[in-house]
Amino acid sequence: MNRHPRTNSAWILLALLLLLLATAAATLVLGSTRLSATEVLATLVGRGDEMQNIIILQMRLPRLALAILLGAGLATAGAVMQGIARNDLASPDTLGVNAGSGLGLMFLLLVFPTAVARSPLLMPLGAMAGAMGIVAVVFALAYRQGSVLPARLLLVGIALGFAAHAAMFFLAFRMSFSTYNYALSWMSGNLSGNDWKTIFFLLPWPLVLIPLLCSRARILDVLSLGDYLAKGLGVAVERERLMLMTTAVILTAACTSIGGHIGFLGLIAPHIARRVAGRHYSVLLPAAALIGAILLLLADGLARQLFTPVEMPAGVLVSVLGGVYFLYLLATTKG
Amino acid sequence: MQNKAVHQLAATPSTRTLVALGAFLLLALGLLASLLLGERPIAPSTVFDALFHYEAASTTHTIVRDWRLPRALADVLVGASLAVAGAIMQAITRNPLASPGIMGLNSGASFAAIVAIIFLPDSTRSQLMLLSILGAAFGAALVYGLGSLSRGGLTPVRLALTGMAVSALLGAMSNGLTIYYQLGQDLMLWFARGTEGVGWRDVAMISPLICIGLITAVSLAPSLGVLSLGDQVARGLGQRTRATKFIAAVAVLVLAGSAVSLAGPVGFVGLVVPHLVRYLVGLNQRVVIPVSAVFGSILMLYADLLARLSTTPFKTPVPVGVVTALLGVPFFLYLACRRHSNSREGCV
Repeated sequence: MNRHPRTNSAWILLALLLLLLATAAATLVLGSTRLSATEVLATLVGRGDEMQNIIILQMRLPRLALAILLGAGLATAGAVMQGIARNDLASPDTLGVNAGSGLGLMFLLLVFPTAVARSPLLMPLGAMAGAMGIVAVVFALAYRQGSVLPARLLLVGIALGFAAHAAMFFLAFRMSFSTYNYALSWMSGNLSGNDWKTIFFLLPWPLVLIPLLCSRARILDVLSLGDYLAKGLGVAVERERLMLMTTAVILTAACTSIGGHIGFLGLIAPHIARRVAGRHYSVLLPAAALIGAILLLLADGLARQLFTPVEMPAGVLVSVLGGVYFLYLLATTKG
Repeated sequence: MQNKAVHQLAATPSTRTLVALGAFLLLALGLLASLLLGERPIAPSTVFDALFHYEAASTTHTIVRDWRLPRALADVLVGASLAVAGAIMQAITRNPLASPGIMGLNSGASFAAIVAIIFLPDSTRSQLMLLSILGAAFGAALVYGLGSLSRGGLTPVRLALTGMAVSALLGAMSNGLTIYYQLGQDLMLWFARGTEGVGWRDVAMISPLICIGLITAVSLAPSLGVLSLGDQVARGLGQRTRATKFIAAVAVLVLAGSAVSLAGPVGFVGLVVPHLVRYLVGLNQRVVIPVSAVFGSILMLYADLLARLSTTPFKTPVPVGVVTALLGVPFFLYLACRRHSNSREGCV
């Protein structure tokens, strides 16, 4: 147990916040066009030349904001899902949420291409519909005699994820060339090419839902004791679980609808957060959000630096690194 | 209860005859249908002429002889190899979810193919095949090795999770390579093509490998039956389990690797068919393996037929992998949600 929970956790969160700021600063400075730290600072306070303004304000800053929002959102949602499923391997990937939101988005793009082009606000809604649909089916199938079995939840989630991927594949064949390219870029988690407008579409979701989830940390703590004890402590287990899961799924879908498929981030960030900040959700959730943001920023920066002439999507790098970490987790965790 | 156990161990001879008869009928029907049907149907008399009185000048004859016939044969070969590979894997690992798709063979082989196309562009078709097989071995080794490393052993859930992670990992790496070398979507489409466009040359090149794999599997069947009782029992009965497992693994890799190099990754055939066959004919591996080959061929033939026929109403090519996934996912769900996998012991 944590002996000085309050002071310790405050320090941990502060350290993570500083790390996030440092990473953010680094990603602003680094890039295909080299700018010095002073130049970046000057641009930020409004004293840059036209070129610097475009690079920093129109290209790097939106991308930075997107990475932070996306990383934080996916990581928080993943931590909540692991809490609800009481299984450290639950995540948007293993519960089929990512695949479901992808399917919803593809469907929307295929059926109402003009409406989507006119109002990108629809995209999160399509992704949400798909994600909620798949999660409802996953939970319904894993539900037996009053409780959800964690193992079956994962198996069913993986199976439906397969199905959704197959369906996406099928839809991809029916798309026009440009829509297909967009879909492909979505599937590999490309953060580039987003302007401030799209970011403002995404912004309300994490900004509202992450604090909402963090405010329910107490409930998650109690739920992690098991249904039996939680009920005894006066928690309306089923209702809370439904509400938390719905919120987490909506958050994931909103994030993925704008940023694309970022594999394994919602799985590994909560794990690292648990190692750093312990198992109390009041610390774990903000820590996971910060770590998710740091990881995605780092991955995006690395992807830009390592493969310079080519626009390598951050999602590819995160999936590779996250996949390795997930396999390591699988090999070392028991049960 | 005892009656049921006996029934499961070996089906009665009459059931077996019935199953065999039905299987061959279905296979013959499927072959015939895949020659007759397609984007435009061809009359039976024309098909007969194309097969026995071939005229090189006739386009219809060419379609039947050089497009539909090799494609149907490729379906038969691919289905048989995937199903037999799945049957062997399920017997050895004693894990109901073991199959080429879930064990990472498909994604390993596709990854190897992408690597080969990028780094060894001059490689011949046979070299590409060899590399696919090596890739399949790589994927399987990753899943099986990492799965067994874990403390709890290789349970069905762990297998599924490890397989998913390895597939996602290799998929992301393939994706990254495709983007880095700017190969575009051609490569993705190439992997979704199924047996479409398979020619006689491909069939001729791969059929010997698949035949060797199938013969090895059938001759291995008695040992597999003993092995499926568990390592200890098998050793107690005097079997050299390590040798059996090694030969079986090589057979699986050859079968699944050749299947991928012929048709791209096609999921769920190797998972579904062995279960279905065991339900129909019992647990005797000497029967299960050959019957799996036939049923795998049937499934693949009809899935491909369905994919081809849906092309017209949907106005786009439907990948055969999508059809098999459509059939396979509900089955996977059924396996995952079965009553006895409910207990924590059985599942986690």
